[in-house]
Amino acid sequence: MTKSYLTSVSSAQSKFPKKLLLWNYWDHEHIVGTHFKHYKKVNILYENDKCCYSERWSKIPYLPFYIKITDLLVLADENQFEVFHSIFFNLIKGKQVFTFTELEKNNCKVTRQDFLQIPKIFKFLQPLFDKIMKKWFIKVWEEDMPMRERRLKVWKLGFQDYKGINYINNPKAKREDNSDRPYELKLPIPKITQIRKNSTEKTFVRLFNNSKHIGYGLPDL
Amino acid sequence: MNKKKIGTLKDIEKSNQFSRWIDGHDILIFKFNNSIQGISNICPHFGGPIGYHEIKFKDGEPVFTCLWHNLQYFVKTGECVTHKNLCLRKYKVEVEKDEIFVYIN
Repeated sequence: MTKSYLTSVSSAQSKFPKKLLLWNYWDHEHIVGTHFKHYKKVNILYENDKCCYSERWSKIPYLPFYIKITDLLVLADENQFEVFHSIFFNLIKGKQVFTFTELEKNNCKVTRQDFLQIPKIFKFLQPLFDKIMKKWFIKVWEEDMPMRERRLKVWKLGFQDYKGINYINNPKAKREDNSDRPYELKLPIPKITQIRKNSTEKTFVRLFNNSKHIGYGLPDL
Repeated sequence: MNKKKIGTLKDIEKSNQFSRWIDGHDILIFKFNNSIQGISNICPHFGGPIGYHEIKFKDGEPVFTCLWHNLQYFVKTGECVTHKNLCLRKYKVEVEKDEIFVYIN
């Protein structure tokens, strides 16, 4: 049967440094927290500074159930990574290409190209695929936005992973000016599952199904 | 330590908790066992908000759950349930009439 592809392109501009955006995409465990409405489990099978092989249990728009997606992320260079998706025992194969374009200092545009391999007779689904993928991109982008803003905010207050902020931990500590601190990223990002289990177990599961959400906080006084 | 107003009793009415940034501190004010308390809202793991979800219970103990990666912290002590080296700072809180104050450095 002749194969073809459904395709879609989505993009958005952000006010964040490229490395912070990459941190967000390569923090694989946050999907069951920040994106708890769409994911319930992630299992990282292998990861290093250039790639990540994982299984994700995801709810795709318009589908009322979770599907297991096997993902291979490959960092092509500092401006681009590719994700190879496999669903239903490799019956469905897809690919996404994320491209990061730095516009000016600490501003970056993200472009996502989506490809889904299909038998040619399903090419008529192109408009629907394009609609779903664009909706998916916006939904995830909006959910990630407060996370990115907060991450940059705490970073500029001197936040260190697994430590926090020095003057908060130690009320007697002198505050340092970190407002111009360049964002740093080192892959792979340390996983809490590895540390918690102290073993090779890397499955990360959402802890609850229902929750009352208070939100990200009240505005400043 | 400086005493600063962080909100009012009306702010806490709706959900029994609220968080607010004040002078570089993100503080979660919450009502538990009829007392109003304050705890750092910044998860020391990656900086996520621990007050996004309401209080939950783990083995009968009340816990806060960070939105980003589900790390949980005991309400009473601020200690992380799974990572004992991670701990949230507790803030001294005072209520005067209908206003809530915290002590920060």
